[in-house]
Amino acid sequence: MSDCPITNTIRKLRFNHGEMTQDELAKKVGVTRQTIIAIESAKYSPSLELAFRVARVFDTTVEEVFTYQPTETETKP
Amino acid sequence: MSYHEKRAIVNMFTSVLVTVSYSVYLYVRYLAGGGEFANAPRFWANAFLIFIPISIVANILVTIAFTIHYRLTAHEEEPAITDERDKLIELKGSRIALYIFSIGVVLAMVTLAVGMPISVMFITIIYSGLLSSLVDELTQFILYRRGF
Repeated sequence: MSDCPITNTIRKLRFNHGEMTQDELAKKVGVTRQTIIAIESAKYSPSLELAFRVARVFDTTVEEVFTYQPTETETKP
Repeated sequence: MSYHEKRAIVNMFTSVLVTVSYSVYLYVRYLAGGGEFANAPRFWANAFLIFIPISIVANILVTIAFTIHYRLTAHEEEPAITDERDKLIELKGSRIALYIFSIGVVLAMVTLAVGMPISVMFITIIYSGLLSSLVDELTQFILYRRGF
């Protein structure tokens, strides 16, 4: 279980991009494979810059890759 | 176990080994002096200053040995880059280590204030350094093990 409120679709996007490996994605965005694993399993929230770089690799928007899940106590402004 | 996890374990062992070995060496010298070094600031200041390069050299040698061993046994090279997650993990470890070392320095001053020998102050500083180093590596190990 993770407390990270940000979920992502990286696994699906990798599959849709010719079964891109975690290592290939890591090299494209300039991080280690362990960091991609941590992001995919929602254990680590990437920086905004890294989020944009990941979205760019899949030629999509950040919102398509990452989704913020508000907690129950959070209310809309 | 990843490169970073193995490295953290090796660093913990190195810190303990170097500090304990040096403590034994100091204790033998201390006994040879017949206890006259207990309140000799020069002896303890020298001991402290000599410990710093010994610790650095030992860490460099162990790092080289570990890197060679890792390449031979894991059949892969160590990570070529340090990314944002690595830096955050390192920062978290350093922050906790800094708190512990600061408490150690304050405790060392307390030992002087209550009239303990100056040797106790230096030993407190050296061992708070060891403790902070261990907690730093342990924190990094746990964070790498969990993912973050």
